[in-house]
Amino acid sequence: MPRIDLNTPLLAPLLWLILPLALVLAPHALDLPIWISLSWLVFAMLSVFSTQRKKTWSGGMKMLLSLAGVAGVLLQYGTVIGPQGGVALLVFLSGAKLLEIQTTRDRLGLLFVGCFLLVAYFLNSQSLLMAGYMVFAAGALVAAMIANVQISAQTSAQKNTPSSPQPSPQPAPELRATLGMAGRLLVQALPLALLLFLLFPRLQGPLWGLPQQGTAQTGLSDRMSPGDFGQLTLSDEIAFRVEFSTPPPSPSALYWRGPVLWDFDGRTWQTRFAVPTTPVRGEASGQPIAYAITLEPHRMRWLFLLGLPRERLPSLPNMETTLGPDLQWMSKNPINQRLRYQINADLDYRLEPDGLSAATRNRTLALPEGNPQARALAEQWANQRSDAQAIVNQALAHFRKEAFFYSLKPPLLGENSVDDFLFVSRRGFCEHYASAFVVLMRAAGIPARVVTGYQGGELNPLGDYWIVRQRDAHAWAEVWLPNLGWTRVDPTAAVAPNRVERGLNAALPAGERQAGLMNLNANWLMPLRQRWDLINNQWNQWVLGYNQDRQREFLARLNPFLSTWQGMAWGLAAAGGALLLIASLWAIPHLARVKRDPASLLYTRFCLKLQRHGIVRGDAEGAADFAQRAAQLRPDMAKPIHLITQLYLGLRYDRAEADKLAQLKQRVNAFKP
Amino acid sequence: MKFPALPYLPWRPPHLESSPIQLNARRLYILPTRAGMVFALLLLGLLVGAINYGLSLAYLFTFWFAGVAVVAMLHTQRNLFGLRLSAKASQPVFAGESARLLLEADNPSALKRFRIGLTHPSGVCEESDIPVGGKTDLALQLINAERGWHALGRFGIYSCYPLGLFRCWSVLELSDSNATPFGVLIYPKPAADALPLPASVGADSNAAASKTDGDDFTGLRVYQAGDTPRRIAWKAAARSQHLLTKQFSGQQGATLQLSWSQAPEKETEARLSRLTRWVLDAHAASLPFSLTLPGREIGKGIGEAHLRLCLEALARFGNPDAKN
Repeated sequence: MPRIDLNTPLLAPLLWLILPLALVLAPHALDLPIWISLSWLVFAMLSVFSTQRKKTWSGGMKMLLSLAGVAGVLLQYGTVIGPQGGVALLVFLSGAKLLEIQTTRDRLGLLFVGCFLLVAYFLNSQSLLMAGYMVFAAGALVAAMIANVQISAQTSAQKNTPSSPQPSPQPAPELRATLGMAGRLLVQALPLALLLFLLFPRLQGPLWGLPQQGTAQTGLSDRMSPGDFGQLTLSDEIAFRVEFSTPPPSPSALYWRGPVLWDFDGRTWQTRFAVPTTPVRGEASGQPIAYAITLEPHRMRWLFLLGLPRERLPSLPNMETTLGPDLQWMSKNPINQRLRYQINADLDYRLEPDGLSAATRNRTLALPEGNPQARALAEQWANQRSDAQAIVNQALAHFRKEAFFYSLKPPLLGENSVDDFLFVSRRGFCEHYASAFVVLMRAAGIPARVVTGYQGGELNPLGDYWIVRQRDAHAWAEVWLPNLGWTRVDPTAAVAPNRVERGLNAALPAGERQAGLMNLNANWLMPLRQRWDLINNQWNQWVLGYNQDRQREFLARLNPFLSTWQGMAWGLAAAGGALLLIASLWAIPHLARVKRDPASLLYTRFCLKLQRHGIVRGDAEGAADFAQRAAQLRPDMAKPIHLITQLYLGLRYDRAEADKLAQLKQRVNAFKP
Repeated sequence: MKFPALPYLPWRPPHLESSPIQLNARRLYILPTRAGMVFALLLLGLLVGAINYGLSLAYLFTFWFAGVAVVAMLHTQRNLFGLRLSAKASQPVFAGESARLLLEADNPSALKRFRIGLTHPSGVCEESDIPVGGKTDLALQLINAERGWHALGRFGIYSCYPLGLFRCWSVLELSDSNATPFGVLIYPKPAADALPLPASVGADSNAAASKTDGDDFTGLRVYQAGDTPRRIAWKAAARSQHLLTKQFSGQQGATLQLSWSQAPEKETEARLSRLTRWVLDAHAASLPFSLTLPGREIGKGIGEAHLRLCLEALARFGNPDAKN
């Protein structure tokens, strides 16, 4: 294989292109299909080879490659536009374009594509780490643009002057100088960028429809099939963060209410048709709480609540939301952006205590065929006791007393899943218990439904907020009791009280505990992770969550006028102008700094030495006159004074010679009046 | 040529100024390049994307790129600001050789200047860097320059460094301190084939005969443009770094009269080429000669100064764009 010399003048422009682009595209590679990343790499290598051998690729070949790319992306995504297909195609074509980079304009165009792809990556992730990484990638792109200007001077000159026999070899752009310049540009641009970031009026998107993005991994779903999944995936991903402005309730009371599942078909719980929209009938009965939730985009439609909201729910910007009678808060569209809302609520409340409509009653009592053993058990309880509360207690006692185990890896269940669970396997997690409990209640004639959401959370003491993660996803039951209304019953708590009081890890048998899961007390990494989450939270709240509302709020705190459109425009103009003025003022004196003549510097030092002994040179006194006067004042030093003056005058007004300068330097240094 | 002409403000046309001049803010113009416009469009697109997807970081990086472009504008202007320019005397050349108009750029600041180029209607320039506190000659290479005087005239100096998104330029017209405009004189191209010199007038026939037979070899000198290849001492040249031409003596007695009518060619430029060749040959042979052109006569003479006088007369024949 022929050796490749990376320092040839031919390769330098190409490397100045490939490396910055590779930096930008590396994070994309995680999200793109592997064939695109691989072909990009192959294109890059081919372009190096063909440049080395001065080989060009035929137009047909390039056309074929482009078509292949379009076809591949179409097959993969079904489209070549939009944030996924479009980006994929652009990445592929940027690779193919490397094979035919000829002119400065081509290269600059490709670097522009690099800028585009850099910004487009934030569709995938806007994490703090990625932002830090992208700063470097942006620096590399800017450096490549600088190098491109320098390279262009060489190539265009070579092209335009065929008559000149040998174009003087231009030095390739120096790496350090170019990177330094790029760094300087980025740093100098930062104040301007921050100013624009703060003051540029934020519009509430979207301007056009947001396409469906890849589904996110959540611990929740709008259906629940206990027994179909052998293993629950546990993820440390954050579902939402909560700040309480009132004293927070105890962890065991933190039931973050999400989707309510009304209907059971024997295997799966779901809400098959919408609940009629009637107003919430609830009575608050104490413990007011106020909290703000910052919800991560989960691409589903539900929003989470704790307690019974006091007044009208906050209206969210650009979102239509409805609150069902079952306290299920839904948005009309999937939640694709991080969302923050504040709620005033009562933790203790009664929901529909005055009775149920016939339709609701029938729906929450409905049971499909099957599960005869469970039915028999429930009917037996119903016959023994007339009081609904007593039946509930009987069922909970059953879970507690019989040999039920909490496990994340339960066996799969058969056709009569509830019977199978209750009488055979007796191992499962919240979904199994909630499902079985609700089936038992319905069979016993008590209206019941499944509620899903998150339970608990973890306090970050540094920022005084709670983090709720996907693994805190939970399912519990709600039964309707006369006078009390819908009452929360958590059968999982009967089996594994630790699950509710101390989190998931504490509830698991020793063999199943997850090393990766955070345990508040036992993990020495905890303080670090808490700090990291705090930083991330601030990042989310203030950088990523800087939307129209936040901007208005923030600017109004500075000056009410600033939070208006006109205020922002004036602010931008004034502060931007001031910044530019400072930049140019700072830049221009820098230029005017004229190089001082070394002889003058040495002579100034000589004068300073005399000055310390009271011999001061007058403003208009010539060097020779001054030497005369100084020699008279200090006859002992007359000889060196005259010698130095002669040397200086010779250097200044005659010919500057290096050895004379050295002599002057030596004499001035040795001069001790 | 990429930028044939750089515009200037019509109410402030450049006028002849004596060198050196320093580029100050009032002389410098700046506008985005085409790439700069495309970049602006790109940023606009990114901004729309940021708004649509509500991506804060997309806003931030779009603004950052915009900031970089704005700061780069200041840097582009800075790259030319404060440069001291003076036109340099340019060596006359023969047509067909590369004619270079030189401009000395002095950088008195503590800032290196990058990629500075000149524009001119009839020339190209290699962009060059100017070191801190140093001087660099910016050379404007004339394309297909013909015989005669080529005034530097109005020229532009520009730079697109650092990003190529903005071009900063100035349009100038320079003279030296005597208000003489700068330029380069291009001599006619010496005829390629070497016809023997015309017979000397006033020399005796022996001398003329001996000339064709070959004179006494007196020594070697460095090859000059226009020397006939026959007189090149190839063997000696192979040992030396330069081409060497043989010199002959015994030509002193002849008075060579080179005149317009002696040239066999009929066409003006061809005649001038022929005469140029003869003038060079005569000079190379250390023959005193006189030159007679229609409307111009140069008396008998010898030596470098005489040669230059004759070549200048040939270059300016028929007054092509004459200075002087």
